[in-house]
Amino acid sequence: MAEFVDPASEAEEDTQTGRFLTFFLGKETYGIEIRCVTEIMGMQAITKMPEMPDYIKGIINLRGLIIPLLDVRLRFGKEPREYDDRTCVVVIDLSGVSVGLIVDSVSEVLTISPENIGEVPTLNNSLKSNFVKSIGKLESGVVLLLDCDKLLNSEELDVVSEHL
Amino acid sequence: MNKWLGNLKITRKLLLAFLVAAMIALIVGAVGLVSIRKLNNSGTMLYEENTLGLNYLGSAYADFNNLRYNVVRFATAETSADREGYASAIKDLRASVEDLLTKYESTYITSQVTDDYKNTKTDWETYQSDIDQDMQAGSIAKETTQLGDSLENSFKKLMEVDVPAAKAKCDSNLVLARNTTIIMIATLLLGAVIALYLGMYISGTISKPMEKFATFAEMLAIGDIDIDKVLDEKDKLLKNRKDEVGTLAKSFHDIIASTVEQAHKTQAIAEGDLTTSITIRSENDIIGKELSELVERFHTLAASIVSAADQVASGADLVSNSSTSLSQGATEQASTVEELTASLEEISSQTSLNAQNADKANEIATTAKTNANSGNTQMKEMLGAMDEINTSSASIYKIIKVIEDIAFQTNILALNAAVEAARAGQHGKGFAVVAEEVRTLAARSSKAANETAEMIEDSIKKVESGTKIAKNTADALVKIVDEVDKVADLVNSIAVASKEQAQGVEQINQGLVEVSQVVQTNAATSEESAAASEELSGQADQLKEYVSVFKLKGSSQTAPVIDKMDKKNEKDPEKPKVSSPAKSNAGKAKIALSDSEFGKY
Repeated sequence: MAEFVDPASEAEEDTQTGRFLTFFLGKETYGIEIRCVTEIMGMQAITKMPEMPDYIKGIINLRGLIIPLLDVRLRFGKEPREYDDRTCVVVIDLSGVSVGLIVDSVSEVLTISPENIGEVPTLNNSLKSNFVKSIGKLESGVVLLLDCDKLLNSEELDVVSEHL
Repeated sequence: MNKWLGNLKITRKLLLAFLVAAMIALIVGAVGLVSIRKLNNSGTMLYEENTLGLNYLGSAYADFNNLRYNVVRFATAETSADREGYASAIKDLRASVEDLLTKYESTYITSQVTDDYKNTKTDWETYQSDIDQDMQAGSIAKETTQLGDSLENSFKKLMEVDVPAAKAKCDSNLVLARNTTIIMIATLLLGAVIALYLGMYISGTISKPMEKFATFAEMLAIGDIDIDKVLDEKDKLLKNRKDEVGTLAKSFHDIIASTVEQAHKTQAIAEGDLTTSITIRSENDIIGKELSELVERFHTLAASIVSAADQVASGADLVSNSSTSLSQGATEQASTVEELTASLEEISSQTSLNAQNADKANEIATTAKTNANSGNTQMKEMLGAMDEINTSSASIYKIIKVIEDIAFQTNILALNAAVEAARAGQHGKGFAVVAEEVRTLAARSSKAANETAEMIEDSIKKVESGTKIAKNTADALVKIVDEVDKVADLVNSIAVASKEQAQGVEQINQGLVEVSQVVQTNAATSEESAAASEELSGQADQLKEYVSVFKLKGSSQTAPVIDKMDKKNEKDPEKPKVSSPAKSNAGKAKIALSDSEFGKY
């Protein structure tokens, strides 16, 4: 994936900014910027990898590309859930490393105007404040907007990339 | 003579007869013997004198002739050996003739013959000397030959003479024999006649009485004691004879007398006089003893019959009374049984009604059960249908799942498209619209699928509730069936019990019928019994009447019976009454007996 820096791409970036892919973890709706998302797909057979953190479930072969899968639930410290047919993998690009995020289900691509994006209240203990960048407000509820870059810190990224 | 003969014992009579016969035989024999002796002597003499003499004479004559021949041969012999032979022969012959002549001499010779014989002997002596001379001379002199011829003639003459003598003797023998025969025959005939007569007479004295005795015995054997009709005067005198016949006649007379007596006594008993006493003639008089015992026993029997008849009469009365009361009781029983029967009829009819109703209820219960069962079956079918609905719902559900999956995938596709569109930036706007549309499509599919899913769920829920209701209904029906079963069982047992009840009632009915029959029989029997006892009483009276014929020792009967008895006596006056005095005594005595007998019992 190449990023064009031109007025069109700026317009594109504007277009891309504010568009979030929403997915569910349990009852909470999370959103992730669409510019991070490479692909969305259904669940596949995971090949487990040794010496990985537990939230790294394993690897899959995506059209020749080896992608590690990260269970967001475990990453967020939630109870793990059994994978069903709604479970999806959101492939994101983190600094050139493709990582698959195992989510309960994906919803849609939402366009959230900046007015509807708010700050995270600090009293929220269920998350590391790293992950959630901001909160999107919808008529139907709130969307916890994630920071792509914060999902895996650099050390973890190195570990992952080492082992790949 | 006859009397003396008659009084002789039979042995002696027979001996006498045989003796006479023997005597006659002896006489005849003696006569015969004497004659035979005479004949014998005569015969012997004939033989010894005449026959033998003749024989000797004949032999002498033969030898003499032989001698003469030998003499001649001697004379003409050629050789001395021959001569000697002839000489010896002559010698032998001479000796033989001598011997024979001597023998002839010893036999009886008649005077006539003796004279001739003397001459012959003298001639012989002469001849012998002549022969001696001739032999010495060697030739036969004429005188010798002449002498020889005369000797020959003498011999012949002697022989001739002997013969008539013998014949005369023989004739006299014949005469003697004939006479003897005649005497013997005469004697024999006489003797036979005497013997026959004697025998007949004697046998007559024995056999005629024996015949009579045989007749008596036959008559006695068949029980006919009226001997007089076959007796005649002569026979009556028989018992006076002193021989065995007389004794037998006397004994027969005695037998008859005592048999007559016993017959009379028996007659008396037969007429009913049981007081008759039998005379026992001796220790060995079996008939007398037994008859006496018989009378005793019969007497006892008659006495006990009289008392028994009394008792029977009284017993018959009792039986009659009890029969009457039995009959009454039986009648009451019969009426009671009738009532019972009526009640049982009612019970029986009600029981059968019950049974019928029970049967009907049973039928109804069975029908209900059948219906419940069919309802159950249909319920099951319904459940089955519902299950099928569920199954098809499940299938629909699966399809919906597929649709959802498709929607999901489409959504993902749309999202990917959107992502790519976002990446594409400006160029991706059209694509974003497509993505958007695809997402909308997906959403719609998803929604439709959801709605359908909801509807399916709803349908399933409804089916479930329907199933539940059906199950409840099925349970209820099952319970109904159970209850109906129970009802059916109960009804069945009611029906069975009713049937048994009916049977029991039937049996009671039968039993009552039998009882009724028995009661009726009892009534009839008691009637009969009463009648029979009446008859029995009558029979007892008759029995008493019958037995009243007999006179019993010390018996006492009621006056009418005595009268009856006396009338009986009057009816048969000609029968010899041995014990008529005893009868009048017995009349009074009878009363006493029955009293005493009664007291005994």
